[in-house]
Amino acid sequence: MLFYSFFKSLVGKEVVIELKNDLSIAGTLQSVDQYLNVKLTEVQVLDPEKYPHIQSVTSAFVRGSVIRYIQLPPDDVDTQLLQEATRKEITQPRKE
Amino acid sequence: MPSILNTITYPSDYIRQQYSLVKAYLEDEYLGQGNLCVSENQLVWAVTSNETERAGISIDYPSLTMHGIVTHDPKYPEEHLVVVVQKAKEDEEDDENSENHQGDGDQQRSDSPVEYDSIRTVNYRFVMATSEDLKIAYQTIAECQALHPDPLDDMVEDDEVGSDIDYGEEDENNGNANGNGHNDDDDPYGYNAHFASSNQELRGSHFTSRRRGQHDDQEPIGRQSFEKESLYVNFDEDILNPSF
Repeated sequence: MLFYSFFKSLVGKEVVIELKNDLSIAGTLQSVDQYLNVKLTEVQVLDPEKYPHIQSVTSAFVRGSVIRYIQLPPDDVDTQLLQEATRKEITQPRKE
Repeated sequence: MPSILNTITYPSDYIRQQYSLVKAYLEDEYLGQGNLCVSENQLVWAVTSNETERAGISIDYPSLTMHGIVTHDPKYPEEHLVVVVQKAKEDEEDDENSENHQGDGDQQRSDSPVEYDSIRTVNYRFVMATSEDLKIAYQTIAECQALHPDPLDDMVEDDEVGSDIDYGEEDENNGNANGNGHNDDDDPYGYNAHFASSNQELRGSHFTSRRRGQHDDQEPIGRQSFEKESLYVNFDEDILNPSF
C-alpha cells in the first residue's frame, strides 16, 4: 500500500508517465487505485512529432502494469521520508 | 469489410454498457460503424448484426494499455475514444507501419538494459454517437480495467515471498491506507502498510520513480547505493533480496 498511499498524496500534481511502449505523457494526476492504475486529466503527449497519433487527450486511464516510470515534481516529494518508509517496510516482519 | 477484422463472439453476459452507431478506426483504417460493447471480460466492437458470431474486434483488459477521451487532435477532428492495445508478440514481425514503439534511428535508450520491458501497441479509435456515450464509455472501461489486475509476477513468486501471501487478507486492506494504529504525524503518507499486503498491491507493476531531469542514469540501482540524490526503488529486487 506504500506507493498507493504515496501517489494518492500527489493527486492534483503534474506528472509525466513513461509507458512501456515508450510513450511519455504529461498530465495532472486525477486518481490512482490499489493496482496503481492512474487517471490523468489535461494530458499532453511529449514529443508529439515522434508520436503524432495521440495528442491532447482530456482524460486518460493508464493501466498500472504498463507504466515504466512516473516522473514527479521534486518539490512535491519528500525523498527522505520516502526512503525511510520503504526501508521500514522491507524490514518489517511478515504477517503470519 | 476490412480484412483485419476477425470473427468474434459478441458478449452475451456481464455487459456493463452497449452503444450503437459507433465508428471504429484501427490507426488510419476505418473499420466501419457498429456496436461497442463494454463487458466485464472484454471490450468488443463489432458490426451490427443479429448473429452472435460477427466481424469485429475483441480486446482483453490486461492488454488494454491505456484509453482516453481525445477532443483536440488535428488529425482526428471528431471527439472520440482512443484505446491503446498491446500487440501479441507474434504480431511484431508483421507490423511495419503503425507502431508506437520508438525505433526510427533513436537508439539511445533501446540498448539500455532497463528497457527490456518495451511493448508494442496499436491505437483504436471509437467515435461515439453522443458526447455522453463517450464519457460513460470511458468511465465504464476504467471500471472494468480494475477488475483485471495483473496476476502475480514470476519474479515475485519466490519461495520466501510468495508462500507467505495470504490473498484472503486483500479485502481487509483495500483502501486502508492508515489503518495500522499510527497517527498521521508518524505516517503522513500512510506508509506503514504491512509487508505482505503491500507486496500484493505491487505485484506486476515494475515501478520506479526518478526525479525530473535525470535522464542519463537509466539503471535502477540496488540497495547498496541508496543515495539521497537519486530516488530509485526497484521493488522486485528489494523485495526478493532484502539485505540490510
